Amino acid sequence: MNSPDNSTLRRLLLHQTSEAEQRLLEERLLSEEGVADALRDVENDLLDDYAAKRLAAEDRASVEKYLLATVADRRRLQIAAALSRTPNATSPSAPAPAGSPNWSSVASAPEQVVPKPWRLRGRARIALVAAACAILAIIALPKIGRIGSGTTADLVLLADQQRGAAARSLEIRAPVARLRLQIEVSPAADPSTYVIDVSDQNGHRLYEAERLTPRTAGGYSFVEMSVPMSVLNPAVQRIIVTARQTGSRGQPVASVWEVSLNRP
Amino acid sequence: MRDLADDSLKALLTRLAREGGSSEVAYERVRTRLIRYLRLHLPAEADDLADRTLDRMAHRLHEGTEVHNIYLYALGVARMLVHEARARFAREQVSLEEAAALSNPPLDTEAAEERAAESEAVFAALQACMQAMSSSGAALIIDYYAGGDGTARIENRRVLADRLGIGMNALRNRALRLRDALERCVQEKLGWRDEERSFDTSDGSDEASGS
Repeated sequence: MNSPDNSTLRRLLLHQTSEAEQRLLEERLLSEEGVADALRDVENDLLDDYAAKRLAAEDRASVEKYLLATVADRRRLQIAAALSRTPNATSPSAPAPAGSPNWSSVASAPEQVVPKPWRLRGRARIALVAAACAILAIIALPKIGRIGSGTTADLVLLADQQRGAAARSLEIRAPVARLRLQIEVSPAADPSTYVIDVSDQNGHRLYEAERLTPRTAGGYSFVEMSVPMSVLNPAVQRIIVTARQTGSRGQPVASVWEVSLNRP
Repeated sequence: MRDLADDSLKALLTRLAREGGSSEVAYERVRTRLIRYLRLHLPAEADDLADRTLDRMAHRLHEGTEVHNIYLYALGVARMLVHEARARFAREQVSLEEAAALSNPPLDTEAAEERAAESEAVFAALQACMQAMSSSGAALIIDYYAGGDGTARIENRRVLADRLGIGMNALRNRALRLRDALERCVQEKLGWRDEERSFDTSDGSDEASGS
C-alpha cells in the first residue's frame, strides 16, 4: 500500500484532520512500512516552511503549537533556518559531477605576514562555540537559489584559517557576477579602519578597498567588500587585510589569505 | 535498547521476532513509530511515553496476553498512556507559552544580539558539518530541500530522483538519513546533545525501502 500523500500527512501534523481520519492515519503510522519516515519528511518540510515564512498564519500557529513544543524541536527549527540560508549550489537541471568536492586544499604557500595572535571575544557562550567551528574557514555560497548574471557569491574568511599554510581552492559551480568577501578581523581596542588588497601571486594589485569600518555581529568583528568576478585571477589571489589604527604609531597589522578560484 | 526486567524484555523480544527479522530491529522500529505517534499528542513526553508503552507491553506479554497485531497493540497501549498523561499534566499550556516565546522574541537589544549570535553559531556549525559530509551527500541535502514549497518542491524532488536514477521513496529515505546525521552533527558541535536526550528517530526498518 502506498503511504498517505504528503498533504494528508501535513494535515495530520497540523491537527487539521477529522478524528476518524486521524485514528486511521495513526493506525497506518504504526502498522505500515514507510509511513513514519514519510511523516518525518513532511515534518521537516513544515519546519523548513515555517523557517522560511512560507506558511499562512493559521498553519504557523499550528506548527508553533504542535511541532515546536520542546527545546529539541526549537533547536531543530534553528537548524532548519540555517539550512534555509544555505543556497542551493546546484539545481536538478544543472547537476554537479558526482563526487566532486565543493572546495579542497591545494598546494601550500608560505604566508608572508602573520598577525599578532588574538582571541575571539564573545559575550554569549554560543558565540564561543561558533568560534570553535572555525574549520568553516572558507565558504563560497551563491546568494540565491536560481543563478542569474547578477548573483553574488559569498566568501567568508575566518581569522584562524589564515594562520594555516595552505591556500584554499574554491569551486563556484554557477556563474556569479561578484564575490563578496566577509573577513573576520581582530576586535581592536583602538578605533580602526581596514584596507583590503586583492592581488595576484606576483603582487599585482587586482582590487583594493580602503577605509572599511568593521562591523560586529554575535561576537565577531568583520569587514566586507564586494569584488567583480571579472577582475579576479583564475589562479591564486592573495587577500591582504590591513588595520589602520587611529592615532597608532606602530606598524599596521596585516593578515593574509590565499584563495584559488575554480569557476564554471 | 532500554533495560527492562529480563523476563519481560524476553517476552517482548520473542513476540517481536515473530514479525520477521531481528527482534532488536523490530524493537527500534516499534519505538520509532510510537514516538512519531506520541509526538502528535504530547510531544514533550514522546520519548518517555514510548518507553513506558514498551514497558507496559512487555509486562502484559510476560503475563501471557496474546497479541495478534503487535503494532496495533502498541498503538492501543500508547493511546491509553496519552489519555492517562493528559489527565495528569496540563502540558499543552506550557507548550503554548514556550511557542509564544519563540514566535515573539524578546525585544531588548542584548537578547536580540544573543539570538543573532546563536543563529550565526548554528549556521556556522551547519556549514562546518556540511563541509565534513561527502560532497554528494551535501549536494543531495541542498537539492532535496531547495525548490520552494508545494508543487515546486514535489517537482524538484521528482527531477532529482530521476537524475539519481532512484525512486522517490529511496530519495526521501536518503535525504532523511542525511538530515538526521546533519542535525546530530550540528547538535554535537553546539553542545546541545549533552543537554538533551537523543533525538535520533530514523526508522531503521524503512531505510532500504524503495532503494
